[in-house]
Amino acid sequence: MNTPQITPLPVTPVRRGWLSSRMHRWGLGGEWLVTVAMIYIAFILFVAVFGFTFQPYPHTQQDLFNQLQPPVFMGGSWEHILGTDDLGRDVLSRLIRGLRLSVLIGVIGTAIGAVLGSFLGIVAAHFRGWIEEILMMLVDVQVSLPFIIFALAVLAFVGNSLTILIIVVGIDGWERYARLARSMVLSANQKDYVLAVRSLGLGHFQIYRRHVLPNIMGTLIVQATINLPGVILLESTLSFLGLGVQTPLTSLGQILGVGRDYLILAPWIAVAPGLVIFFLTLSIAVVGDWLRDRLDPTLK
Amino acid sequence: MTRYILIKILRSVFTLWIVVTAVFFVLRASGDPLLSVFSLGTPEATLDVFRVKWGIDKSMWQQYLIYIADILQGDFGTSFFDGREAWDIVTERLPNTLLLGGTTFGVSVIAGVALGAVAALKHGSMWDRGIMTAAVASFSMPSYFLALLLILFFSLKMRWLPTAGASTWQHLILPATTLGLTLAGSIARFTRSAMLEVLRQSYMRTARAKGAPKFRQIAWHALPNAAIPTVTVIGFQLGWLIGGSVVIETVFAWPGAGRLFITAVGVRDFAVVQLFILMVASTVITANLLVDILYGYLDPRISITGGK
Repeated sequence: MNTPQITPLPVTPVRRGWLSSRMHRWGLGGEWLVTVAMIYIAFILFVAVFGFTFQPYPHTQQDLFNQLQPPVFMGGSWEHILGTDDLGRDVLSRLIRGLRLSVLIGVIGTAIGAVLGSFLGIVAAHFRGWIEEILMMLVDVQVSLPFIIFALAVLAFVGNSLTILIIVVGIDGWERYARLARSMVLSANQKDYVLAVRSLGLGHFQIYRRHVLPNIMGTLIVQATINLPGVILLESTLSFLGLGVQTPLTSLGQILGVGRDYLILAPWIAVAPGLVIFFLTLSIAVVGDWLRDRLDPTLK
Repeated sequence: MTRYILIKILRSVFTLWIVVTAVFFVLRASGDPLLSVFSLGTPEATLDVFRVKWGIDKSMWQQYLIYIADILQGDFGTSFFDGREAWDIVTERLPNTLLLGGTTFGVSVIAGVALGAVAALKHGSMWDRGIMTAAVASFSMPSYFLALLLILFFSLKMRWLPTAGASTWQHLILPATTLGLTLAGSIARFTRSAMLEVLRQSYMRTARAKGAPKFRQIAWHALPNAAIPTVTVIGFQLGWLIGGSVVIETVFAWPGAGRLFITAVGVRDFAVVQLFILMVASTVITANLLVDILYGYLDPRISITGGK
C-alpha cells in the first residue's frame, strides 16, 4: 500500500485565475486553507489596529432601553448589527474593542515568552555546569504544574492589572523556547562556522548575536507562531473565568464570560466573540503548521 | 538501570519540593488572608486570636518549617473557612474529578489513536486531510466556548442533556465530550506522525514482503512501534487534562476538585490551594517519571547513560 508510485506530471499548461496565480507567486500554490487563514489573520490585524475608526459606538456606552437586542440576522435592527448585551452595549463595538486587547496581549505575551525562554536557553547552553542545571530544574518545575493553574493562582493572590496579566500570560511556554534554544545552541557550538569565528577571536556576545542567533532564529519564530494560539486561548480563558481582563477594559474572553449568563436570552453575546477567537486561533495554527513544514521540518 | 531510575526519582522529589516551596511563599507574600475573611473594622484582638489559631502569627520561615514538617507527617492544614481538614475537603471532591478525567482520558486515547492510525494508513487521502483538519480545529477551539455551544444545542435547544451538576451519568456526557475532543485531536496528530514514521521503516517492508496479512502488519508490526512516541505524548498530556478540567468543571458546575480550586483561590483559602497544587504537581511529576521509565522498557534500543 505504500509502494512508491510514479505518476507522470500533467503536461497541459495550467490556467490560473488571478488569486491562484498570486498564490503561486507567493509560494502558496494549492494551499487554499493556508491562504484563507492568512487573509483572515490580516483582516483581524486590520480590525485590531484600525477598528476604532469604524467602531459604531463607544464600547462602554450603555443604552438601558435597548438591552439584549438580537443581531440583524435574528430579526434585529441595523442600529446594532450584532445586537446588544445586558446593559444595552453594542456587541459589535465591544467585539472590535475586545479584539484589540486580545490580539495585543497575545502578541506581547508570546514575544515575552519567546525572548525570555530563548535567552535562558542560550545562557544555559553557554555556561553549562550548575547554571544549566538550575535552569533545567526550573523547566522541570514549570512543566510539573499545568500553566492555567499557576496563572489562576497568581492572578487571584497577587492581584490583577493589565501589566500583571501580560507578564503572567507571557511566562507561558518559556520552557519550550528554553529547551529548543539550549539544544540548538549546544549543537551550533560544535559546528564549524562557530569554531571558525571563535578561532578568529570574535567575542562570545558577537558570536551569538551575529552568527548563532541568525541560524536558530527561524526555528524559534516558527515555535512562537505555534505558541501564539495557545497564548490567545490562555488570556481568553482567564478573562472568561473573570480573572483576566477587568472592566472597563474588555477582551474577547471577557465578553464571552458575560454572554455565558445570558445564553438562553441572548446567545449572540457569547457566540460572536467565541467564533472570532476560534477562527483566529485556527488560522494561526494552520499558518504555523504550514510555516513549520516549509521552514523547519525538524520541529515536527 | 536502577541507578538511572533512582536519580530520576530523586530529581522528581526535588522538583516537587521546589513547587511546594514556591507556592508557599507566593501565597504568603500576596497579603494578609484575614482581610478576605473578616470585614473591615474587626478588632485587632479578634484578628490576633485567629492568627494564632491558623498559625500565621509567626515569621514566614517558622511557618514554612512547620508547614514542611506537617506535610511530612501527612497533615495538610485546615481550611480557613469551614475549619475542616484541607485533606478531607479536597479528597471528597476527587472521585468526581477522577470520574470525569478518567472517562475523558480513556475515550480520547481510544478515539485519538484510532483516528490517527487511520489518517496515517490512508496518508494523503480525504480521510487524512479531514481527520487532521478536525484535529487542528479541535485544539484551536476554546474549550469553554465549545462547552457553551454544546450546552446551547443539547441542553437548551434539544433539552436532551442536563447543563450542570453531577447526579446522573447523563451529566458526564457534555463535560467529557468537551474535554475529550481537544485531547483526542492532539493524540490523533501525534499518533499519525508516529505511525507515518513507522510505516517508512524497513521492518514494515519485510512484513509486507513475507506476506503477512494486512491486519497483522498493522496490529503486530506497526502499532506497537508507533506506541512508543505516542505513550510519551499521552503522558505529557495529563497536565493539560488537569488544567483543562479546572475550566470545564467550572463551566458545567461539576463538583470536582478543579472547581473547588477556583473557589478556594477566590477566597484565599491557603491550605486548600496548597494541597490542590501539591496533588496536581505530584500527579504530573509521577506521570512524567513513569513515562520516562516506561520509555526505556518499551524501546530497548534506548541506552541509558550510567546504567549497570
